[in-house]
Amino acid sequence: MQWCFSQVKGAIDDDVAEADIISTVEFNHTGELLATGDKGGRVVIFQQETENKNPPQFRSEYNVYSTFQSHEPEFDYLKSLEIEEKINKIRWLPQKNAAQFLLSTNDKTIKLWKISERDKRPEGYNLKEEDGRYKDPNSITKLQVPVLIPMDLMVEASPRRVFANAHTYHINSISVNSDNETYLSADDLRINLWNLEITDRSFNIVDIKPANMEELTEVITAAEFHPHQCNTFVYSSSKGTIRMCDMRASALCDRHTKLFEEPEDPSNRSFFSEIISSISDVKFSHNGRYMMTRDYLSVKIWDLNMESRPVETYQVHEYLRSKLCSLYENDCIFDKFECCWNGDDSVVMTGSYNNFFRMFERGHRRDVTLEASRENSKPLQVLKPRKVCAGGKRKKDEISVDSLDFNKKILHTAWHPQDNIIAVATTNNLYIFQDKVI
Amino acid sequence: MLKSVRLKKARTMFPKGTKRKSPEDEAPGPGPLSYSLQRQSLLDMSLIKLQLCHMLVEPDLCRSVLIANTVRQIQEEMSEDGTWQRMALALAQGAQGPQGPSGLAPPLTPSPERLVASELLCRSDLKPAPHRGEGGLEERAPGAPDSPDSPYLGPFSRWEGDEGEEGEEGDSEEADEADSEDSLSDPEEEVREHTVFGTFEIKPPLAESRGPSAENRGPSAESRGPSVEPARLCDIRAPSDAALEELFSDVDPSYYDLDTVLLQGPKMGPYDLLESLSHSPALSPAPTANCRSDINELDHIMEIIVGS
Repeated sequence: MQWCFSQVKGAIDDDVAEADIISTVEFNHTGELLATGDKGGRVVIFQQETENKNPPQFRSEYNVYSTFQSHEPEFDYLKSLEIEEKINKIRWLPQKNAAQFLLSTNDKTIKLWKISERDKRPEGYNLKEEDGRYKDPNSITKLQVPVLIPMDLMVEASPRRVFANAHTYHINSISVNSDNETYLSADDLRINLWNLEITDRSFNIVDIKPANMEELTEVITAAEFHPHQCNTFVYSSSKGTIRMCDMRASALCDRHTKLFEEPEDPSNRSFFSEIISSISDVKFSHNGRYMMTRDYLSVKIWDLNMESRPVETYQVHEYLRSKLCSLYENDCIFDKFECCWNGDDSVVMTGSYNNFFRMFERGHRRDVTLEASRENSKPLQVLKPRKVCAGGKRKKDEISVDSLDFNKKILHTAWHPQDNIIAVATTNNLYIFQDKVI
Repeated sequence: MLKSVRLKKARTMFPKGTKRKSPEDEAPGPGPLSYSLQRQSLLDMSLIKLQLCHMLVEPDLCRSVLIANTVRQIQEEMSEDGTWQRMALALAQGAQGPQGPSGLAPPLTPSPERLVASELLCRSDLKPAPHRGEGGLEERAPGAPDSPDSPYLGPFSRWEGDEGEEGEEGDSEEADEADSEDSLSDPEEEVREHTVFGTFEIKPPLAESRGPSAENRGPSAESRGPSVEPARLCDIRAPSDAALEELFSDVDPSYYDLDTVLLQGPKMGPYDLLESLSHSPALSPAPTANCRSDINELDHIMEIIVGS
């Protein structure tokens, strides 16, 4: 599989505005829409062009469809702390009617947004002029039926629900249930279940807060509903465990149905073992039989029927294992990388440093490292595989570990649900790549 | 000679930027001595990270938990091989003697300030507050009220958000303890003691039980209790410059460059605060929880941040 550059969105200059830092990327269920959230609380939605005016080797382009301010910065007066407006996650709802709905969340508040199109407007009111002024009633001599005439497409985003005040700690995940009625939101210590229609109450379904906060040693890092079983969800922890819960078993899911944990490799033990085992993302496969977890150095694929160890493990950047101390010092070891599946669950993708991202082809046991950079941004330019030299003699075209730029990290990636189109977010740019056709 | 070796070790452990100077510097020297120094450096770094993560935006709980667990692991290992006990002994002897050396510490004996930081923070995690009156700097865990009703506070108490807390009452308890510390005659020692714990001290929550949260289960909105915790910045007491320099005497100043490069953001990075603390006038301690003084000090901090 070869990948080509398709598009890049965002500012070109190297001086990155803080608000423009992309914090989440998500395709909708058809792949027609691609949403990004940023640190400034804005959501930008791109739409794939439906008319394929281009020659066959071009896939349709994504253009800006809607931009809106989802969250504003707030101030918690009781704690004298800012609540950041950064969008942590966006999740699309399956489409039910002409409008599109998505959930977006910052650290404390989840909002349901309706994105609707307006391409007609009424004309010919009896009581109003075209500009809206009311007519003098005495001047009206006959009645007419207003008609809808076409107008330039206008895309409107309006907040339909605000789910607030249910999280003491920072929300890290939201996940829409397959029942299309409920969704969960997870923070560091608790998971809440919401009904999409009801904003003034939520059920707490997981609570790992210890009675004495001093005893806190583990936090929730991610959570997701099973794609088909509406009673099942998983949540991952900072100790590298994943717990699967069944909501039919009890109202409170503190006791897990399954616990997925790989025994630690004693030969690799160090003071950093726990930190690098912390899971930063968990994603079910589309077919619902597997789940993937991302920890600092690897991606693991678990069979939901086997809790003792993952069925596949892929090393993302093993060359960093000897640099963990430096990465701890500069805080990079706490970076939270996400991961994603392709449409048929045959390939998984995740990001790394130096604007590299990695793909692992499961069946063929192949992997590739690619780079998202402006230098490789000519239309349909094929991406050349990159290689990192861990030590010893550096070959031509290889890059040595010490030359990696740890400021350029790819934390967020997304894969089109059906096609081989991927969206890769660098710090403030969104790259869209497609596979090489022909 | 040993001192310069130690500096070199520090440099290799925490290389500047991302480019190495030479491959030979990568592998640290063999032997138990360098491992113990590495471990100590790691402990110090972790304590700094824990202490300095309380800025204007609520810090990442996951990160703090992971760092605290690392500190605990190091402390456990040090206890196992007896290093911890030796340190505690040296600290006890150092506390009774004259002030810590104003010059550079001998490399094999960790400086008293570092012992204070390590000992106190780690003790808070594992052991209950010792009875007051046993005397000596190392015995007293600051912020541990004497009354049996108030539980001891550890590094995560600041995240006690949702149970009911009464701020004013707690603060005055804290003030009373601070005022009546007869055992600490030297105000500077008291200042150093609070250096580590200042940012963690929170008023003791009144009813620390699982009851209230259990009641919130099921179909009721989880309402946040009136958590009144003014920004803990008012508790940061800038240590004397000499003590601060002593603590970080073998820290390569190029770290600050590394962090200003890597940590892009309006918030100060951990080392920026260190710099601003050592350069700016010491913040006046606020023994009473006066909201106005809190806000004044918050403004003061803001000026520093904006100024730098």
